[in-house]
Amino acid sequence: MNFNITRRQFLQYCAASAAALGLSQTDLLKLEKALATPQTTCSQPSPSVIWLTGQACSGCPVSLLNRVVQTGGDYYDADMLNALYGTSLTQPGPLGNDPVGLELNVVTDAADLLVGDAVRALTGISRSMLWADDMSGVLPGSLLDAYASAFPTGYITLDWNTTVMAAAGDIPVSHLRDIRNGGGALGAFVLVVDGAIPAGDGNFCLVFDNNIGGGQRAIRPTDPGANGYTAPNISFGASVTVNQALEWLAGAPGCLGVVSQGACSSYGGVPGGQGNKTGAIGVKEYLNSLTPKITTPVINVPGCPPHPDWTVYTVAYILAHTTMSPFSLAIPTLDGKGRPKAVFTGSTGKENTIFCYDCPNKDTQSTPQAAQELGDAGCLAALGCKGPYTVGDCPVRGKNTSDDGKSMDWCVGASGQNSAGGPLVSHVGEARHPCQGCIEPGFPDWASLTVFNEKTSKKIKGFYNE
Amino acid sequence: MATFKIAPFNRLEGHLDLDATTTNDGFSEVVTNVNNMVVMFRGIENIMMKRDPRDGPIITPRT
Repeated sequence: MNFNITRRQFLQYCAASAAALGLSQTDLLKLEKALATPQTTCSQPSPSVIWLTGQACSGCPVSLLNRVVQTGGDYYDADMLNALYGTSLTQPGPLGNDPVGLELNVVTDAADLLVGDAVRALTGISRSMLWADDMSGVLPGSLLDAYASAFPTGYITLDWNTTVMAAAGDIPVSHLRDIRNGGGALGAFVLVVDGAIPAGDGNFCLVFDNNIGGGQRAIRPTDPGANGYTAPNISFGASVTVNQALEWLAGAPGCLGVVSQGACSSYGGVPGGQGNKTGAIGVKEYLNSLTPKITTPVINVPGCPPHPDWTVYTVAYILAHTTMSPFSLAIPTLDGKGRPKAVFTGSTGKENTIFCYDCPNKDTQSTPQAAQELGDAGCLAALGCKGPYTVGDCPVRGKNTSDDGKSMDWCVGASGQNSAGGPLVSHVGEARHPCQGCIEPGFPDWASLTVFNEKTSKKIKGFYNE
Repeated sequence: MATFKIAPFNRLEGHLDLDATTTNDGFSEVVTNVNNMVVMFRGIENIMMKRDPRDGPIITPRT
């Protein structure tokens, strides 16, 4: 994979997929301006991001981290390619053999584009470790110094994510406290949350111990609060619940906004499904239920998991429109459910346009060509498809990507013939499952319990036809 | 002999705490006992109860 993401490549990615990302040409110009100075060292401003995990399955970060897109060719060092891919890829290039210049069509990880070397640093592999001629720059001083110096090229600084960070125990908690209390390069941070918040009892989800080493507590009553927050008195070494951590972080004076990543942190999702014992709810609902309310702005990016582009759009928008000094966060326009309007609308661009508008099967809706059983061609509405109630761009965006970066499929897909007798064609592939409405509040209950209700269950052959 | 707790534990999908005990065997401290604790509960079984069996393929992959 690509270890040295340049500003040009990031812009290339955003420009290549501008339409898909919902970015306008004006947005792109602003983005280019905002990124005019590459974040080459930690001393230059690079927005801090803290990624807190509640009752989650880690599907959201995995979805984001696995997003790959095709970018243009670039020159890479042969020794690095040898180390990464073996010798089969190396061949004499236009620059000769030492170093060998290789032009490759690089499939780039979308998360790498945004996070740059931060993920590499947190996983213990920094760019300087891979470039053998620059070993002197590896891990100077203490581990915390390494944290500070190991983010050379990212456009954000990912300061906390337990799934990918290299350190465990009190060391990263100490770093988290620093960032929370204004220790980041900009003195401020964006909080990303995946997973629901167990409002019934916080002990259902514990995120770290109240210990930053040296007998010091991470959360102290004297911590500054804003947006309606006062820090609680939690004893040294006690487990901190995700509820306390969320309040502590979202209530920090430096917390500019919360990005609720996924259905769980947006609206409760699967952990908040009917019959749950933990009282799981979304972040916005939780912050509003407190007395006093924590009023930090919340952006919902729902989906189970959300499409990586939706996250990339949100981050790219923030990067493009946020002013750096003084640092103030710009939030994309939200719809009535707290989602960025630009990507949670169909091709019409109008709010509340159900995705049937873009669905390749729309011709067959309520016609004899509509599906009556699973496996049939045509519109799946009679099988409980939630398209008629779901506002999103799934039919035009596609979900997975192949090695060449092309979108492969989405949940519904196309099959059958249109009213004129021609084949229904979707530019993305065909999974042929009724939409579950995972980007709408109420998932999974409204999807699962009504997909298979009395009326529709009889339409599915060989299953539960009582 | 020493005991220590690592929370959070990293590089895994989910939440984990780890308790370890070390004992001096005469040469160095060696780890003699480790307990790990899964510190997150959602109760997917509770959520699955009273549902149509065909909800399983929708809900259980999201764990």
